[in-house]
Amino acid sequence: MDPNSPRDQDDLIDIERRLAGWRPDMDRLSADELMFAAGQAAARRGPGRILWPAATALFFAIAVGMGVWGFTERTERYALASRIRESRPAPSASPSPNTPESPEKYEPPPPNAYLSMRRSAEQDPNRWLASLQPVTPAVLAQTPEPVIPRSGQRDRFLDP
Amino acid sequence: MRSITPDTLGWLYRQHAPALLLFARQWPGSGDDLVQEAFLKLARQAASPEHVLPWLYRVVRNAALSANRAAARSRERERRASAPEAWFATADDQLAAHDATRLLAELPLEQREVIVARIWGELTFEEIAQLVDCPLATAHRRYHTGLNELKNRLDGSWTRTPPATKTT
Repeated sequence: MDPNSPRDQDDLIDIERRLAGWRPDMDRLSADELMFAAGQAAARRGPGRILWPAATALFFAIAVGMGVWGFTERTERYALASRIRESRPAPSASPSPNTPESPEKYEPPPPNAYLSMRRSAEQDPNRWLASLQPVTPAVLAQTPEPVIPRSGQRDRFLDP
Repeated sequence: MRSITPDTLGWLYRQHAPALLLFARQWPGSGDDLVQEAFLKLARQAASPEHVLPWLYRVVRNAALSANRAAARSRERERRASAPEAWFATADDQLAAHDATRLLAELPLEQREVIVARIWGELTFEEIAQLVDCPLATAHRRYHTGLNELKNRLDGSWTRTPPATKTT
């Protein structure tokens, strides 16, 4: 029997039509589940999937590096300080705790200082007034008269 | 080429997921998870494939072959092979769904996959030949041989069996 005969071809078309009428079972398929999973997959596919872990790793590395650097730098400073303490010569004799510290030498102000004059005036005003040297005309004559600039006059500040 | 849009993905799923599930079930131990994974793989593609439907069938077939090889020695495979779950929701007024399943399941795998891809998957013979990696003439021959076998069985030489009881 020739399988390519027109009658067999018609039979095959009939069986094709009959099989096409069988509806595949799809009870276990869920379009909602697929769309949900596809949404999750699309969210994970964006640039943030790489960007945020990379940024986190970078900042973590920076934090660790700075921590190590700070620790070593602090250790070096402590070591340097201890070396300086050890190299400093010890004092020959420690001062006795009962010995009072010597006071600084007091230098009285000069007699014509404002403080001395004020103290003298407060203690004995009459005596202080008497101690003042009176201003005599001879003294005043020796004092040069201050230059008072006046309008319309040439003075030495402007003269060449 | 752009990635697939959610609307297109949902439309493809509603249109072709049942036939893809039937195609995946031709390999014992394969099922809805492979179909779901194939559509997820499509959603993750940065650029949508040029021919989406043959691409989906190829992904399902590759995954089913891998899963079948991994479960080749398992008891689950033997159980599923001996009593396949219902592949069809309804057959026709002359045949019950479980009889239709057994009828198709008794065909050799190389004929079944071609018939399912052609009739329910609506792939062309060129696409089927590429899918199963065989010459075009071989795909034609497998298809016609399988259909003739189904026709002979449906004509009366094939004896129907009572539905298998489900074991939990």
